[in-house]
Amino acid sequence: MATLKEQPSDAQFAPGVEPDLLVIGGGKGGVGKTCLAVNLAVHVAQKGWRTVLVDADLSCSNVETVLGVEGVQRLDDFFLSKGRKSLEPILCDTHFENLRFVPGTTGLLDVANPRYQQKQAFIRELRQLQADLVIIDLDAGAHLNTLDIFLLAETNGILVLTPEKTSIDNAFKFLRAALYRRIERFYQSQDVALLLKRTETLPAFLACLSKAEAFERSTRDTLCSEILALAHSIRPHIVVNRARNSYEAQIAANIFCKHARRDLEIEPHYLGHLAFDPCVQDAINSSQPFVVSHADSPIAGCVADVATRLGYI
Amino acid sequence: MAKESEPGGNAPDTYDALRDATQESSGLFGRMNRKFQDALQTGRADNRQYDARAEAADNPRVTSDDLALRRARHTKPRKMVIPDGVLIEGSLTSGSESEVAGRIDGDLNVDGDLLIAPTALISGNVRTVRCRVEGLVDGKLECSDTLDLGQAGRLNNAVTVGKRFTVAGQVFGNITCGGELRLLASAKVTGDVHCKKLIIEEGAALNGICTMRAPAQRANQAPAQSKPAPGAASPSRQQQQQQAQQQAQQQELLDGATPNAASKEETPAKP
Repeated sequence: MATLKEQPSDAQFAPGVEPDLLVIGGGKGGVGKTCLAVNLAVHVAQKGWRTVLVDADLSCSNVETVLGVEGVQRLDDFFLSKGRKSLEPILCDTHFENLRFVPGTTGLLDVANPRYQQKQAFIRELRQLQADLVIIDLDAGAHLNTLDIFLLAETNGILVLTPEKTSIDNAFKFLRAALYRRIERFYQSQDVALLLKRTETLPAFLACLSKAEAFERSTRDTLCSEILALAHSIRPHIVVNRARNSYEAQIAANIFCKHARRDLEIEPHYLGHLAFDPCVQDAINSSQPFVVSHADSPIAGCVADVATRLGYI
Repeated sequence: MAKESEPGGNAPDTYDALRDATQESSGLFGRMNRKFQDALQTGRADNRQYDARAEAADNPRVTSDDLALRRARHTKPRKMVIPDGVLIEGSLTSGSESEVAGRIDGDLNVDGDLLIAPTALISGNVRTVRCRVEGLVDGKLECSDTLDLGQAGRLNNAVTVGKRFTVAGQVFGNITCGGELRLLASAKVTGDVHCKKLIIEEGAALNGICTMRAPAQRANQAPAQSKPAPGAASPSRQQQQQQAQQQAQQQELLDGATPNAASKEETPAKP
């Protein structure tokens, strides 16, 4: 069930208070990450929340196409500039009130692979933005860049999946890669990284660890409890896209949650579904978010439900 | 079974006879009635005959997950009824209209209308579209459309409603309502309220902080301060400030509620 956002208080909107970061990822390509990110951002902005949409797709960005806005400066400028970096110059206004936008990269090879410190600086700058909500659209796959941004945001990101076996499988692999990356970054040890590469599930990894005689028993117990705590700290939201009915979405979410619980010790939270709707394609091809062009469609209602469950009413 | 003392004591008393009796009328209405009764009793129409063996096609790797995903697309929603006297441990999902009068020790997801009867006790979180509550819900309640809380109803946790929330019962938790919140005369609410429109009838009790302004408006009305220099305010300091403000708000809330009223309202409502 939704961990509802704190009731918004006046203090929360004072300048200098960090915005909430909401990362949208999901492993497989074409499941609707960008579509959800854009429409959720437009919907939340329409409700009166100061929203920033960030296209963090470092290789193939296309939020601009879906949103129908063209940025002047791009994320390349942020990653390539020397010295103190700021996202404010890159931010561009959109034709929606309360919504600003950070355009993605051009896909140049240099930029598509920023260093870890650059990613840290990127997230730090995102936290400095004057906004209530920052929605970050990630790219497909489980590359290190995607995983780092997903983990650095340190909030409960959204994983988008469709009711297909491949999508559920990829979302699971993305989550597993994220967890392993977190464990790897936490210990920064070659041995741990090597052991992680050989075990497919977290229980198997813990079993290996508890048998490792290189460590003392008390050290092993501490390691196991630390790793379990790391796993429990990740609690992603699940949105099932392109579901024919809510029952189908719930079944897909249940299957995913079952695997995540059993093999990763992670308990995801099912946030809601987006119904299958042909109007989505029309909206994308006309460069307009469907929450604007098809405001009365069932899928626009689904986006509203997701926003309500996240606490943005 | 027919008793011998009754008139017609020689009536047939076997199940076969009973089956024949129900199939007696072979006319149009009889057939229609039988179809209707079948659908009503079993909740399965003709198109719901599945064959797991054929679907799995001798593939040992096919699991129940695969078949569930495959079938879900074509499943037609049926009404779900949990009568009084039924205990369900674990989560429950229904794709359509539902009625709960029993005890659910877990979460409940309903994509449609939900009636929580006076006898119902739900310990987990509830998520639904439209809902009427006459029973008791311990977990969080999320309703994307409208929610009616009857006089006998009680909610012990946070409530989120998308469009309209009418309260006649008790709420012990924060209320977030995207539209209209109406507190009827018998309503008792202990918790913070965030809504777009608020109607309070005479006699209703509300103990908590109420916020109604849109966030963007609030940002404009906040005192103009220069953005702190990068690195000047560490996140920990900001968090401390936020915590201090939250504590102050909670203290205000506690001060606002009279001790007598609070102790009275903490006792569970009688069914």
